[in-house]
Amino acid sequence: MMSLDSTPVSVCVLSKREKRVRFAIILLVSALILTILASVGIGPMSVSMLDSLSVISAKLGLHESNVNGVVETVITQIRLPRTLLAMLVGAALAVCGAAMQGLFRNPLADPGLVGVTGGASLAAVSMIVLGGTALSFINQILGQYSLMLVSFLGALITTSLVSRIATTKYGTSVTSMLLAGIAIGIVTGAAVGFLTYFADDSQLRSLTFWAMGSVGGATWQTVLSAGSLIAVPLILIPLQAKQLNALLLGESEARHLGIDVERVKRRLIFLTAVAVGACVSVSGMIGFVGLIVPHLVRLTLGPDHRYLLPLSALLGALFLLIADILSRTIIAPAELPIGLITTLIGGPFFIGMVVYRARSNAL
Amino acid sequence: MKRPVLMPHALMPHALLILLVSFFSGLINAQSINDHSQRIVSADGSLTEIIYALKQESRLVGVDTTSGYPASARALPQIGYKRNISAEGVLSLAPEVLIATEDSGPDKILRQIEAAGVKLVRYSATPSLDAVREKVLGVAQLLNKTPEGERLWQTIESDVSRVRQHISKIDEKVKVLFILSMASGSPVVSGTDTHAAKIIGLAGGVNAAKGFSGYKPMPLEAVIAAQPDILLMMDRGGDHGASQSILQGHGFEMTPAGKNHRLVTMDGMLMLGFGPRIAQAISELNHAFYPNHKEPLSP
Repeated sequence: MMSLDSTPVSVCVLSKREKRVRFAIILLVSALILTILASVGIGPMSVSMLDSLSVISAKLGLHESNVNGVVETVITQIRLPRTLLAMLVGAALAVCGAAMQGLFRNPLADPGLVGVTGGASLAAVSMIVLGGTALSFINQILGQYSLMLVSFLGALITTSLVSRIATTKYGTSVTSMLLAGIAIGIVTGAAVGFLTYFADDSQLRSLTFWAMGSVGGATWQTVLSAGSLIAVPLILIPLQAKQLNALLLGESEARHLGIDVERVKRRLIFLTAVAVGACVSVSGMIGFVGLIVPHLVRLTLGPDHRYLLPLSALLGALFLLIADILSRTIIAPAELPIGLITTLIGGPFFIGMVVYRARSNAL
Repeated sequence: MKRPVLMPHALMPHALLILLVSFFSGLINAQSINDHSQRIVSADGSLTEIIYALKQESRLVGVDTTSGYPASARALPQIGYKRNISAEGVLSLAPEVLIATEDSGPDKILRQIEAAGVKLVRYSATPSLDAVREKVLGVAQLLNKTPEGERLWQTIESDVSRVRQHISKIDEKVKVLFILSMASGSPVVSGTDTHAAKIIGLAGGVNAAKGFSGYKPMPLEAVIAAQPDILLMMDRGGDHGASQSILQGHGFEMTPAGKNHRLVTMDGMLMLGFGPRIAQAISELNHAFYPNHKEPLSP
């Protein structure tokens, strides 16, 4: 379990931590700005860094554009929305991961535990496999956004199912929620297996790549629609930092501190379902961001959610943006799925972290 | 086939005799099956098509899920997906021959079926005209229809060479991007060494996706950089409308194909099956690639 040195004991400790936090924020923001420039400047199409910068500055109204049309559209219509989407998804996954770890008081918790990803993937796989036949009417109504909307709905449905199962007249039990989440995950996994069995070759390939994630579908429409769904929880979850800090002490202790624990739980689960559901629906399954980013922040700055949540957002955005740059450049012109990169970095990191914590008796 | 039946002891010798006779008549049949009662299971759609093209479909007792053409093949007993055959399912059809391609499997199951006394014949699965020839002539020989097979191959060959002649007159070849799926994220397209790349080449186009093999996601930016003149997709019944809408949104409008609304769709098995209809596929694709070069192309 996490250590509880978050409550400020003396002024000296607080100021020292605040200095570190300030330093971390400056570091992350400047790294993020540099990475955004790299993300807009680098791609399979050879556009000089200077040209891409001049496109952006021209768009901002600083001067007349002197770059040819194709380059301009590639940068404004493809690289910019993709960069934004990667950052939004990375930030949301990391913040939701941090919130879930705090809520469940379990360092291994991630949004998948409340059934979000299970429901979203079942819905997405149904659309991929049955979109041409049994579910073609959905395609006809929703057009190219059908996969996105349906998987978002799937995420909300399974999450509400999980919390319904775990809620009794005594409130929502975190333990039952964990178990219900695992159970729902198994059920949706089985259904996905069935659909996979009936999928044809090209559907199988879609399924496989969907499960490895990609922010390649980013257009301004997807960024605006999914982005607005992601942005609201991204702002609201960090506002629950004090409540999450109190929850670290235990549920009854938090209640004694005057916190409406049930409301905090419901709110966090709802916000996570919305944000992660939107993330999964636009970018497929991107693993490990929600797990390792909060841990990394916690290892360096401690478990105080007032810092943990916003810094997780920054680091998550940075991490996924770097992963996306790698994903579209390593084997260009093909794309290496972003989920492979996050797990490739995340897996060894996670092992290292477990070893470190086991050595220092902190786990 | 023969179930144990309870019967009075007095009848037992007779029953034995009948059993023996039927056993030997079975053996005699086995010698002459090449012409008549051969029971065939096909584990590949292109092989099924060849059997139909040779008008020997009455010998088919089972097909796999890739055997969707002609439509009547779908009514035959199913053995499942060609790469995931079950031994008992095939054996329950009591076939004498199982025809498959190199990519049918799993190998272990095919060996089990072979060990159970079913003749296993496998053909090349590479996407090439040579493989089509091997399959057509091989299946014809197996069915004891060699002359018919040779005639079928000659028609295919002459149709193909007519298209080829036509292609040789085209100076500027179109760049064609085959999109396998567009579910979400980046489009999954065909790189080099794929059935799609091969058929594009045979139809006189150039595969637009270069630098990687197999079917991989390709970021939109790379798609635009590749400048495809035509987008090619499989026509899967219901979502034809969805295919058309691909040209809007997704960023394809920034490619020459999107600007000129050039999307070509074709039935997947016809386009990528490398079966007896390959000449039709090549000539139809060629027609769609070069609508202004109207020449007598009909196979």
